Amino acid sequence: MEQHEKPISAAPTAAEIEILAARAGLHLNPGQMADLAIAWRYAVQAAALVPRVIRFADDFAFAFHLAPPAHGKPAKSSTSARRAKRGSAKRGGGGH
Amino acid sequence: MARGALSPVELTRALFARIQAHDSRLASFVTLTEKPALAAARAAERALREGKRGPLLGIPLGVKDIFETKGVRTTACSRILADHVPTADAEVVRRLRAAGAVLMGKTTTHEFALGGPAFDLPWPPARNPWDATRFTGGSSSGSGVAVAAGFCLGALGSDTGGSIRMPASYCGVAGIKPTAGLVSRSGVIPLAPSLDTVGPMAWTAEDCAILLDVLAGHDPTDPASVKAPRVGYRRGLAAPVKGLRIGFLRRFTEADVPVTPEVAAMLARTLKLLESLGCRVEEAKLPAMAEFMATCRILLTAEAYAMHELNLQQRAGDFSRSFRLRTLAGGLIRAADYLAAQRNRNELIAATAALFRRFDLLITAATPGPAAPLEGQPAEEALLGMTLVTPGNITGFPAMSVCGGFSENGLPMGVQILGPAFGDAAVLRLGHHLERANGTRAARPALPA
Repeated sequence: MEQHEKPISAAPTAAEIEILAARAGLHLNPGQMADLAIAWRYAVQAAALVPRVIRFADDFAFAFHLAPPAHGKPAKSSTSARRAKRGSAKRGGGGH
Repeated sequence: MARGALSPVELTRALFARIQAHDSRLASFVTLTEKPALAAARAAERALREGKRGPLLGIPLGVKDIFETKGVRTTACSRILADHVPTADAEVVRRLRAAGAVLMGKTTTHEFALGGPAFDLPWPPARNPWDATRFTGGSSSGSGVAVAAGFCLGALGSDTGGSIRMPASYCGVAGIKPTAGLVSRSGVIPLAPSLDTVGPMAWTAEDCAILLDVLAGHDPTDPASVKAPRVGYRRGLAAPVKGLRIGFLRRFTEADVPVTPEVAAMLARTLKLLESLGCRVEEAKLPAMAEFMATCRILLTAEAYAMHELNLQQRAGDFSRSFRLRTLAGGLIRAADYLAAQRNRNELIAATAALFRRFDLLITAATPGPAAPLEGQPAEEALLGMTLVTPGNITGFPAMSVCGGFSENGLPMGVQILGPAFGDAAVLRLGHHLERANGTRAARPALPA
C-alpha cells in the first residue's frame, strides 16, 4: 500500500511569513524577516523536489535500531558513557 | 625526524614564523597555541631521541575551530561562543595528542561550520593561498588554507554538506570525508547530527591515510560511532589500482551541475590517467543531483535550526547574515517534510549501494570550477547553488577530493572519488595513485614576501 504525500504549498506572503515566524518563536527585525522570506522560498522549492511515496509496511523514515547487548551484560548507553567520560565538562558561552 | 635529520622543535618554530609572516593576509588561524605546541614538540623530540616512533610524533597539525580543545578557546567563529573555553578535548583531538602530534592552533571555519564567507563577524574569512582574492571553499576553510600554505602538515575538518572536499578542491589539497560513524564526533560542535562527519585534510592522500589511521576507531561516547574492523589505510596505499572498476558520473558534470571547460578537461585527463593505470572506466548513473541536494537541504536546514533554535530565537542578530539565511527557514519546515527527506535519503542510499555492485569506485569533479572571487558573491546565491559533493553526505559513504590539475590562471581543481560504505581504504588508494600520476603535488602556492 502506498500513499502520495503533499509537500509544502507555494511560498507564503510576507504577512504569512510573519505569522509563521511568530509561531516558531522567532523575533526578527525587518531585514532578518526579509531574509527568512528568501530562505523560505528556497526551502519550499527543495521540499517540492523530494519524492513522497510512503510505503506503510516498511517506511524507511521511522527505522529504529537498538544495539544488541554485549555478552549478556547490560549495554551502557552512549549518553551515560559520554557523561561518564566528559565528567563535569560543560559548554559555556551563551547557553549553547 | 626518526633519523634525527629534522627536529620537531625547529620545524614547529619555522612554521610559526611562516604563519606570522603570511597569515595576517590569509586568516587561516583563529587562535594560535604556540607555547603548548612548542612544549609538545620538545616532548616529541625527547621521545624520538629515546627511540620511540609513531606516525604523528612531532607532526604539526591544525584543528578546525569547532573541535573542543581543553583550555583553548573554541569559538566556531561565532559571537555565540566567543568566550567558550572547553574543559575537555574532543575525542579526535585526544587521539592526535596521544599520537604525539603538535597542535598549532584553531583554524578558521564558516560560522558553526555552515554557510559561506561572512564579513559581519569578528573574524575575517580565510583567503585562498593560490590567489588571496579568491574563495577558499568551506566550511573547513582555515584547515584547507593552512595546509596549502604550508603552515601545518595536516588539519582536522568536518563535512556536513561538502565542508572538507570543497575547500580541499579550491585550495589544492587532499581531504576525505570518511564513512559515517568511522571517526568520532564526540566533543565536536554539531551542525546537523545526521550528516556531520569528521575527517582529515592534508597535502596528499597518503598524509590523509596516515591521519585516518589515528582518527578512525569506535568511540562509545558518539552514538553514531560504529565498530568497524581495523584497517591500515596507509598500508593499503601500495596495492595496485589495476583492474578497479571505476564509474564516471558523466551526467552530474555535463547536465546536473555543468562544470567549467577547464574542469571538464581536467576530468577527461583524469579518466585517461585512470585507464593508463589499468582501471576500467565506464559511465555510471546515480539519481539526479537535484534530488540529492533537495533532500540534503531539508535535513540540514531543519537539523541546524534545531541545534541553534534557542539562540536564533533570542539573539538572531548575533549570527552572521550568511548563517541566518541558511538556518532560519528550518524553523518553518514541517515534520512531514523532514521525514519525507529522511525516507528519501534511504532510497538514495539504496540506489547508490546498488551502483557499487557494478563499480568499485565512482569519479566526478569535487567543485564545478576553480575558486570564484571571495567578495561580491550574493549570500543568497548559496541557497540555490548546486554542488557536486552531496551524494557523499546523503549516503554517508566515503568521498574525497584530491588535486586533479590547475586552471590556466593557476587555481587548483579537485577530482572527487566516492566509495561504498567502509571503502575508505580504496578511496584513499585511488587518490594516492592519481596524485602520483598527475604530478600535481610538485606545485605549491607562492606566498608573497
